[in-house]
This record gives sequence, C-alpha cells and structure tokens, in this order.
Amino acid sequence: MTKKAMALLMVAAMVLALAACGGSASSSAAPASSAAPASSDAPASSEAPAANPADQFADGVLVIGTGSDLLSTDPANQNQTNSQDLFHMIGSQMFHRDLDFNIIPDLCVSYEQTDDVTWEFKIREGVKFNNGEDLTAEDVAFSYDRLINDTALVGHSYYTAFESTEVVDDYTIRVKTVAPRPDMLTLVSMSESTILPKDYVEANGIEAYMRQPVTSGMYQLTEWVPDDHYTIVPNPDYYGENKATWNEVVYRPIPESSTRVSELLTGGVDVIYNVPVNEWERVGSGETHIDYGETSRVMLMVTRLTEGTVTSDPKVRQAIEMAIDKTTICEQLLQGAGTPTRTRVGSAVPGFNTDLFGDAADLYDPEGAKALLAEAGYNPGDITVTLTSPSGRYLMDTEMSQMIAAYLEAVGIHVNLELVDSTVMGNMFNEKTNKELFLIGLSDAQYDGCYPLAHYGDKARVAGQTDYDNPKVQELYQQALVELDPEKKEALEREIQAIAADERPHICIAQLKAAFGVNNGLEIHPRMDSNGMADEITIAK
Amino acid sequence: MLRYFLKRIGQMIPVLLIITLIVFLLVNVAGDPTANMLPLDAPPEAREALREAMGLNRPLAVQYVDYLGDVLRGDFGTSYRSNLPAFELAMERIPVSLKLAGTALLFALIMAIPLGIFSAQFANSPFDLVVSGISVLGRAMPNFWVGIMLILLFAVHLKWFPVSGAATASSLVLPALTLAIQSASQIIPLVRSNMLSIMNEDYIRTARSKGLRESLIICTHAFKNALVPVVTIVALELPGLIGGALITETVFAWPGLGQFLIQAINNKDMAVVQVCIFLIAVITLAANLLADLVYCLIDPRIRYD
Amino acid sequence: MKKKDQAYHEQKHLLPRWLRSLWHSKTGLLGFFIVAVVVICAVFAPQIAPYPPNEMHPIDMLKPPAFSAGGSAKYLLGTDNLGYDILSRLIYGARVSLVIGVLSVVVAGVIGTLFGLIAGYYGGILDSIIMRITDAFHSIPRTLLALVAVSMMSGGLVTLIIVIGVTGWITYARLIRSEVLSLRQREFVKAAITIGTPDWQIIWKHIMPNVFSSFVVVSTLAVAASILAETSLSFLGLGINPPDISWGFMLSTGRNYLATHWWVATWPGLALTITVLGIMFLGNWLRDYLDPHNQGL
Repeated sequence: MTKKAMALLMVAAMVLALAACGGSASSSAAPASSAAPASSDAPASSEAPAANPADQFADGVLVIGTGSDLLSTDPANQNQTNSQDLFHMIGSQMFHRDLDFNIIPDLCVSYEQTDDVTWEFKIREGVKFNNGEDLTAEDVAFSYDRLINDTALVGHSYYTAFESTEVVDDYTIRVKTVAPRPDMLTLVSMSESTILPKDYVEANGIEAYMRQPVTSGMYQLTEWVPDDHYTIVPNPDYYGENKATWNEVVYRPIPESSTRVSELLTGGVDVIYNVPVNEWERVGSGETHIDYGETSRVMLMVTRLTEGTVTSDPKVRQAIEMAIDKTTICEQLLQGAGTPTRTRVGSAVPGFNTDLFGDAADLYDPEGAKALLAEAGYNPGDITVTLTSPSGRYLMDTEMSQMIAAYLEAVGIHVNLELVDSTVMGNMFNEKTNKELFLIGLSDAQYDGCYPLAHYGDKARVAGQTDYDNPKVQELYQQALVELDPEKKEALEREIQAIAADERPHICIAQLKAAFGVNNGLEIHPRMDSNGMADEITIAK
Repeated sequence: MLRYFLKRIGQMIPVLLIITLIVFLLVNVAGDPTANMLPLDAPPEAREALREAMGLNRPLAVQYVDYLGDVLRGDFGTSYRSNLPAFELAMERIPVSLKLAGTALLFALIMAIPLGIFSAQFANSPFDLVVSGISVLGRAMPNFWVGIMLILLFAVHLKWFPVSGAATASSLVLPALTLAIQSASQIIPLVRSNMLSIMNEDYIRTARSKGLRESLIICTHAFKNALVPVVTIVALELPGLIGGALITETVFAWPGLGQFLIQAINNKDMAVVQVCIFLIAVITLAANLLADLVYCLIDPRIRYD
Repeated sequence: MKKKDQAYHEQKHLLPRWLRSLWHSKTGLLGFFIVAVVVICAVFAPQIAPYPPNEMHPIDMLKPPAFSAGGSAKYLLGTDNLGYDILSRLIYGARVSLVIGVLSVVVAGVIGTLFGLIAGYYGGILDSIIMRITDAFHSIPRTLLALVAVSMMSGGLVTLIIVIGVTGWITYARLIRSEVLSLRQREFVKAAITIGTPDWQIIWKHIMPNVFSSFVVVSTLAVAASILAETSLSFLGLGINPPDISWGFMLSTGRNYLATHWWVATWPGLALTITVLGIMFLGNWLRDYLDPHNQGL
C-alpha cells in the first residue's frame, strides 16, 4: 500500500510540478509579462462599451494582431512585412516614404549626385543610438558594407547594386554604384539599410544585436516574447520633428485567422491586417469597422511561352484572357477588394500605365474566346493546361484558381488544377518548374516601375520561366534601367507594359485591396505597399 | 531491476541515433531550404550564393556526419532566420508547453476518473452508455474543431475567457480544455474497465461479504488498484500533449513548442525543425521509461529480469 | 460422431453466426450500419448526389441549409463559399476519405507486416535492429512526422496515402512480431521447421492465418486513425488538392466560416465524427467477435 501511495503521490506531484514549473519558468523568461497589454486581460474592458470608443485609447496603448511573429531581428537579413515595418519604426534610414509615396528625409539632410555612379549623402548631427553611441558616417559605411559583402544575407541581393562606400568625414558618406541607379533613393530607404551601431556590433556580435536591437529611430523595441508579443515604445532621444503618436504599441502574432478575428471582436486586439472576406460583415458591425486600402499586389498567371507548349500560341493566350470574367471575380469573389488589371505594375507605382487598369482591363468575351480557339485550330476539349496555384497564401487564392478553371472549362479548355502550399510554390517559381499557367500574387516594394518589368525585359531572368523573348522590350528595359530623367523613364515603362499586355507573358487578373479590421475608436490610413506604420493608426475623432 | 533499467537506457542510445537519422533525412531530402528566404524575384546567383554559404551543396552523407558530430557536442545548429542557437530557442518554449500539458492532464484526470469509476459502478446503465458515447465522441472529433467551437462559445459569445495568447491565467483554460477532452476520452474507458475487473475480484467480494459499505469498498480498495494503469497512461499521454498539441497551440496562439515548430516548418527553418523533433522524441522516450519505473514500483508482480 | 450427436451440436440457425453476433451488439450494429451507408455513398456517389461535386453556382454562394431561414430545397445542406452544393460534396467526399483510410492502411499493413515477420521469425540481430527502429518512430508523434514529410512534397492524394501509410507501420510491426514470436514456440511450427519446410511456406500456411484476426481488428481502427490524420493535415493546408474532395478539406476551408456561416464546416465535421465513430464501434465488435475466448458463442 505504501508503495502504491508513494507512486500515486509521485505522479500527482509530477503533474502539479509541471503546471507550476511551466508557470514560473515562463514568467522568468518574460519579466514584464505581468505587465501584459491591458486590453488582453479579463474581458471587462469590452463588457461595457465606452460611450466614446476613442476613450479607451487615452492611455496611448495600441494592440495590433498580426498573422505571424518576427522571424529575424537582423535588418539586413529579413524580408517579412512585419520586420520591415518594425525597422522602419525603430531604425534610421537615409529616407522614409510617406503615405503618398513621397521620399522624405530621415537621416539625410542633403545629398548630391556627383556623377552617374557616385552619390554623396550628408547626415544629421547629434543622432544617438539608444545605448548612447553617436551615429556617424562610420556606422553608415559599416551597415552598407555588410550588405555589399556578406552574400549569406537575405538583403544582399538588393545591394549588389552598390560597389563601395567611402567615409568622407564624420557626417558625410560617398556611395558608388555599379551602374547608374535611378532607384538609389529607394535603396537607401529600405528597412534592410537600417543603420547599425558599428562599435557595438563589432564588440558584441550581431547575435547580441538581434537579442536586443540597438537603434536610433522614432520607437524602440523593449520586449520580445517569441510567439506571444513584441512591444515598442517611443525613443525619448529621437531627432525627428514628428513625435511618436503612441505611448506603447504591442504586436501579438495570432496565426489562426478565425482566432485573430475573434480577438478583434472581443477587444483583445485593436487592429488586424487582412480581414478575410467572409468576416467583413461581422467585423463591419458592432464595435469594429473595416478600412480599405489599395496595395500593389497583382494576382496574375505566369504563362509559359516555351516552344511546344500549347500556351506558346498567342491566340490561345488571348482566348484564355477573354474567357475570364475579371469583374465577377472582383465583385463576387473578392467582394470589391480587387480591381481588374492587365499590368503587373501597381496603380500607385511611378510608371504605371492607366490604360491597362479598371474596366478597360476586363476582356471577358467567352464567345469570342471560343471563336479564337477555333481559329487557332482547336476544338472544344482539344487543349489541356495545368493551372498551378498557391493555397491560402493570398486573399481568396484557392477560390480564385477554381473560378478561373471553371471559366476556362466553359470555353472548352480542359484544366488540371494543382494546388500547392507556399513553400512548394516558392520552389516552383525559383526553379522555373511552372507549367502552362501559374497563379501568383506579385507585389512591389521598390516603388519603381522597372522592378516588376524585369520579368519582361531581362532575358536571363525569364529564361526557363516564361521564355518571353521580345528584343524591343528588352531594349526598352535596358534603357529604362539607367534613365535618370523620371519622365522619360516612366514613358519607357508604360510602353513596355502596353506591349506585354498584348503578348501576355503574364495574364493579369486583379490588383488586390487590403482590408483592415479596426476598433471604432481608431482610424487607419493604409499604405499602398502593405507595410504599416503604427503612426498611421490614429485615434478617431 | 537496476540492471534492467541500465539495459533499457543503453538501448535508448541506438534509438536516439536512428532518430537523428530519420530527422535529418526527413528534413534534407526534398525541397530547397532557401526557397522562402529570398524575395521571389531574387536572381539565381544570389540563391546559389546562399546555398553555398549554408553548405547545402555537399553530399548528403557528409552533411549528416557533420550534423551528428555537432549534435553530440550539443550544437543543434542555428535558426537560419534569427541567427540564434536552435537548441536554446526550443528549450525556451518547453516550459510554456509543459504548463499547457500539465493543466490539460489535470483537467483530463478530474473529468475522467470520476466518470470512469461511476460508469463502472453503474455498468450498462443509461449513464454508462452516455459516458461511453461521449468518450468515443471525444476521440472522433477533430481537435481544431473543438478548439474553435470553444472559442466561439466561451470567448466570443459568453466572453468568459480570453480568445487566445498566454497573457493571463484564464488564457490557459480553453486550450487546456481542448486537449483534456481528447485525453479524457482515452482515460475513461481504461478506468472503467479496470474498476470492473477489480470489483469482481475475490478480495472485494470478501470485503462485501464482510458487510462493508459499498462506497467504502470503492474508496479504499478498488480505487487505488484501478488507478495503477492510469499512472502509466499519465506518463504516456504527456509527450502526446506536448508534441501533439501542434494544432491546439496554433488555434489558440499559445507560444509553446508546437507553434514554434509549425512556424519553423512553414519557414523551412531546418535546424529548428530538427531540434524540436529530437526533443519531443527524447521526452517521449523518457516518459516511457518513467512509466515503466512507476509501474514496476507499484505492482510487485511485475519484475523484469 | 454419431449422427444424432452431430445434429445436437450443429443447431441450425436462420442467420450466419456473425450476423447474429452483430444483432446482439447494439453498438456493433450501429457501426455496421454507419459504415455501410458511407461505403454506399462512396460507391454510388454519381447516382446519389444531386449535383456534380465540382459544379459551381456563383449566384448561390453561401446559401443556408433547407431547414434554415433563407435556405431552399434546391440545396438541402446549403452551399459553400464557391457555390458548391454541400450535400453532393459530402457524398463524394466519402470516396476520398475511404480511399485514403483504406489504402494507407494497406501501405502500413504491408510494410509493418513485412518487418514484423522478419523481426519475429528470424529474431537475433535483425529483431533488435527492427525493434530499435520502431522505438525511434514511435517516439515521434505521427502527425508531426506526416506534417514534415508532406510539407516537403506537394500535397495530393497519392502523397497523402503514402505518407499516412508509412507513418503508421509500427503498429502492425509490433503486433505481427509478437504474434509470430508466440506462434514460433508452438509445436506445429517447430515440427514444420524440423522437417525442413521452407520458411515462406511456414509463414504463409501456418503463421499468417493465425495472425489474421488481430490484423483485421487493428486495421479497422487504423482506418479511423488515417481518416483523422488526413483531417489534421488538411487543417494545416497539406491535404488533398481540388478537384479531389475530402471531408477534411471541406472542414479546413470551412473553419473560417464557423462564426458567420456555420453549415459549411459543421456538415463535414459531423460526417467525419459519425464515420469515425461507426468504424470504432465496428472495430470493437469485431474484436469481441474474433476473440478466441468467445468462439464458444
């Protein structure tokens, strides 16, 4: 009996110890977790809705629900939207972009382009990192050199454009590019180009930086409990004229979308990005509402023009585009969160061709499509294409691909629908193993028409993927790459888009809108690049 | 008996080796880990450079031996994303998962033991059938469905508990309940059948014939003996609750090992995936060994030579 | 035996033994009935389903079931987010769920039985190695193993069958091994070995038939487990691809609609739960029926 009792006691003790040690361990790992965001505490805060919902934000605390956690806190080694946003808020770059995509100075006070490939930037004086170190041109050189030289960094691929840096004096730095770069200002405003503290990183290693970033921007990161939340607060020594709007911004990663919506509705979070279409009604009523914003993400089908594939016939491609009712997709499926388009370039990006957007972009004509196919020598049922599509990566992607397949079947084109997950989709895209049609949502973080147009004009880039080979387009592209006059550049880019729209290496469907779920006490002013700065969320009047 | 356990521990070593091999093969055989690390439009040269830098172009056997060597020194690699040691990152998450697992087990026992005992006492009554039905149901329902329903009912509609996260003590309730329902469904039939077989045993009949009250008999004699296999079940359920809570942790945004692992799989963060699987396997092996130990101590009839 | 004794011992019954036993066991009967319905749906789907499963009705997206406000008899169980009729998809979904369930069990059974036979029959170092391998697999949760494996390949029916099958082999290996071990000690097997019967003949004629009943019981429960495994994988986005339909896929895509349009996820969820229940009941009855101790019934 004693042995049994002993064993039973052991087990009971084990179970209780687990619960207890788990509790104490987690609270020692997150020292401030007892000061966890107030609004995620007991639901009392949402039981009696304030007369004015804006009142609950009097304490200046904002809670945002995101779809994923921070993956990397090395600004040069990340390319996720949430870490890009983070470094735009806590770090300093040469320039920022405001809501209208204008370049505004951040660190840089003046600049000069001394020749085609040399740029000289003068930076502010008196900027301090939050460990007390001064920010000088040495730190800038250090950060840029790292991007130029370390090939293992994710951000490196953007900075192959730079050749070298030169510290002229404490507050002046010269950057040489490999070829003329009209997008220079963009390159030095990206989150990847966040300035790192040279002395600190050299002394302690980048790992120490990643555990607690040492930054100089408007906010600073005070706490990161992985998979639970990360918090930013204003930087008291910030040099800029605009002060931080919020006293504290807490980001809570919640991967499961229905859970995220539930948190918004119960007041556990105040804002969520990307509300699924079927939840718009629920979120649009009660204590929350939806704010919409244009993005530069275009859902399009990458088409294979390789000799021997059925889609190498331009009539087939045209018939495919004519078979699809883009307006119904935008209005019924996306519930208005999309606009038909025939160009890959986003509507707010310089160089965008307006003739290829909106109603003019819907070529829906199923009878015409069938006639065209007959003209090309195909009877209904003769053609089979494979449509590969990601599932759950973009807004309504699964449903969109199924609708497209149904439209194609209706004009006599048989479709093998292949749904793949995000990673496999990425592999197929990179390894160029896409088949006839490949649905994907490409966007543009560069605010430069040339970036998306590489898919039409850079022969090496498209070889094996679309195999689109139009020498005129390639020539125009090379010209646009180095054209420093913005007006001439945009004219070239518009011409490329017009040609590409008729030749269809990409069959574009719709430009997506983003839907933000917002507490009624707040307003959001969304950005086109789907990045989000906390200060664009303001308390409602 | 000591010899038996030493032998068992010795057997664990080849098993651990095989686990590292399985984990390594699983994670390195197909797909390109760099796929999601660069923007989709990055030029192929950048991708090749990244692969070289990560040593992914060497033959598999060489990579495995390297990996094994590191593991034996306690180095499970670095998370490709965050540049921090994968082992430390995973270990940080274990207490959080343990907290959930422990609470779930507690709930499961609180539900299962009384239900099991009473359904044995009133065997074949309507009560018994209902409980049987519920426990089979608990095994048949997909756990994410249960989780989402609980959120909708108790968090959104009734607002009794927070929807997700691990901020307060009450955040523990719904996820633990979701897991507990599944565990309890396994435990109830076990308790019931053990109670049934014990209640028919001779020494119980003796006690009854001596005129002792039924409830006293249940509480003192039958109860303790019925619990014996339950003890091993507790030890065995534990790894399932940690490693198998992947889905529940995702639904409730519970920052434990499960969610960490799912994110790592989505991001192809190989080092993290490998170390998590390895840790879960080690915990399972340890739990099995513990179960055997406890069982041995309890039941003197079991002796391993 | 004398003729009248024979007549006494062989009481004539109207129904075969298994049917009588089934009738006695209420849950077994229920399970049998449920499984029968599912199988009929799977086999006769084109005849039973009101619509083809992949026929979209974009004007009728997200219509409620017939008995709800706003519903109509046109779509008895309502429509989903793409305008598909849920009842038809439920019926066709039975096919995939059953196919995955059964075929993955075949894969697991073949692999597991092979290893179990080798381990149990030949013993020695082969046995030790195989046992260590099963220990290793056993210590990794099955869902996790399947998840990592499927995330490396693209989803789809065949991948799922293989992955779910391969991750389930250890149950069979252990079962077969222990049966073989005990059978090997039996006199008739020892005798066969002594007279020099080839191994494969011993295995085939003596060992396999005796293992049969446990095999069947384990298999029924394994089918239920496979169906549930597919559901979990679909939840994580790694299940089958359209145009294939499975209940797990329907449940997974419908889960985001639980708060607003409850029927999209609830019907497949019920179908899954009831089917798994039915299989478990049937399995339990089979186990009791095939139990050698019950042969006297």
